[in-house]
Amino acid sequence: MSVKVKNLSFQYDKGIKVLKDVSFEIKKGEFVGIMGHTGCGKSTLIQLISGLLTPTSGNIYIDDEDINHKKYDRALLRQKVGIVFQYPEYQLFETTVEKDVAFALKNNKFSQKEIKERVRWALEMMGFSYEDIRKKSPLSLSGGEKRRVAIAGVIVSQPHILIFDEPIAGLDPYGRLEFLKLVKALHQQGTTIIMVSHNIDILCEYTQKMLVFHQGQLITNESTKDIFNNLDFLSKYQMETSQIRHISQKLYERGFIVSPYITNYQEFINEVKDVLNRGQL
Amino acid sequence: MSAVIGKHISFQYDFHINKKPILNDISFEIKKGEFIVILGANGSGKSTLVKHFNAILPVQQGELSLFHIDVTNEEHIWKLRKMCGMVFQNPDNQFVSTIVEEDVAFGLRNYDIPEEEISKKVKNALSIVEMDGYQRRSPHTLSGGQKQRVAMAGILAMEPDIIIFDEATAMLDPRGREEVLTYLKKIHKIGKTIIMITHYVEEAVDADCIWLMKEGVILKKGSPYDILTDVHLLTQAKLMPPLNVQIYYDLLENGIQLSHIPLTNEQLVEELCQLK
Repeated sequence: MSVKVKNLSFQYDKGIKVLKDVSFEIKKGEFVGIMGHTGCGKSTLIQLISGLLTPTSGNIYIDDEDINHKKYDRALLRQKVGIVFQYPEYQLFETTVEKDVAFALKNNKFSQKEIKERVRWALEMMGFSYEDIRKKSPLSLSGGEKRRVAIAGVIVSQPHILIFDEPIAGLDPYGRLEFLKLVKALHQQGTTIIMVSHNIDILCEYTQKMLVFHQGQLITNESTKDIFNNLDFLSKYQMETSQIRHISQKLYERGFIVSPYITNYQEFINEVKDVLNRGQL
Repeated sequence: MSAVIGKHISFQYDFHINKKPILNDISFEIKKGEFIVILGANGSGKSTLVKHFNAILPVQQGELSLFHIDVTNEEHIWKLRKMCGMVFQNPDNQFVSTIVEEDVAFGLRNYDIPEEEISKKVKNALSIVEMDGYQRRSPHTLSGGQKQRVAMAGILAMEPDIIIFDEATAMLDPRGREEVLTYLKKIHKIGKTIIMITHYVEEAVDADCIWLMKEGVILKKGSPYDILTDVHLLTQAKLMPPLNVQIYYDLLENGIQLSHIPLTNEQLVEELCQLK
């Protein structure tokens, strides 16, 4: 399940161009981050990929099929691409969790049994006990639980590509960690993950590749490690690197480590261990 | 001098199904000019508590006063709202006007103040958050950090004694967060009492006092060092320690002992360099 974007541009009626000639490819099973300042075109891009907006020019191919072609089956797109918007818990509306999660399946030809199985799978995937949660009102749950129910309502369609728009905003640290574990599990099951986030430490720990946008243009599309190690590039666009990279830079300047190019937590711990153990020999 | 005194405050939303109180017999005192940070997991009662301070929520049980003015007395409500301002999480939800200066003036317009004085106060408030020159801009064309600065100016224009930040950095990018923290500290320096709710434990490092909340009670009040290095307590409150504290404990597990638990990057670097 790949996403291919070719010379994509978009503008709202006569307005300024929100996206300018953007091209990139995301391969099946990748975990990709999207970053950029407010207004850089991130949200517009994910709405285009999920078919909620139509490009002004350029093409979007999902599994090599142009999703804006007249003959393209939009129902298929909805099954293939799942999108979790910011604050998805605001979209909960049904009287029970079970009904809310099953809603997306209503329009497809699934048997009752199949629907039940999928809902159970989605809720368990999101860390719930199906029997305990199914009859509860979504509105009686805590903020973190609501968000997980809302996400269950998206993954219940078993999309191959899952897009998250700022999924951790407003979650407490523990909730963030729990949520990221679940996303990682989905990724390990083969789902392609695209995640828009401002949280650099999380992008550094979880994504393999990053698309970075600035004023509607894709300014880089490289490995996460390379991007967050390129401090000159980041500061040019007033962007930050990870806290680990900041600490590594300081340790490098003090002669503690030989290379400042560490962006990831475990790598950092290992390096410090190595340096200190070597010192004791 | 005490800015806020609370005694035995309990609270419960009527519609709450399991009837468990959101706040359970909380008592505290905040001194004038203090910078308090409230930490706690989702649902621990942080926002519910601070919404009592300017009478957004009524006191159901217990006593609460701001500068010795009783919050439960309806007569004082306008005075209290002027005394204690609040910056919310989503700046877009708090704008009411189409241009910045109108928005900042909105609160003042409810208080029979001459127009000249209003414009003086607005100008002054905008200059504190360094948004001079943006008077005629539409708030919606600003960046997230700038929006929160305008929201802060709207509160400052009222010249309150206490300002509450209810997860005011949660929706911002790192640059925006930095902006809000910079001006928050500046406002604290000019003598305002600050109460900040946040999920970013790193933001609590400069507080005078941290309150750690869990299930409607304050588990512990203490200095940033006391609270942020107590991993056991933080875990109990379903929070994570700051990255530098995590590093300390991970190194310890690997047989590497630093002489102090670092709270900031600078402290960690210093500790490590001493070991080598």
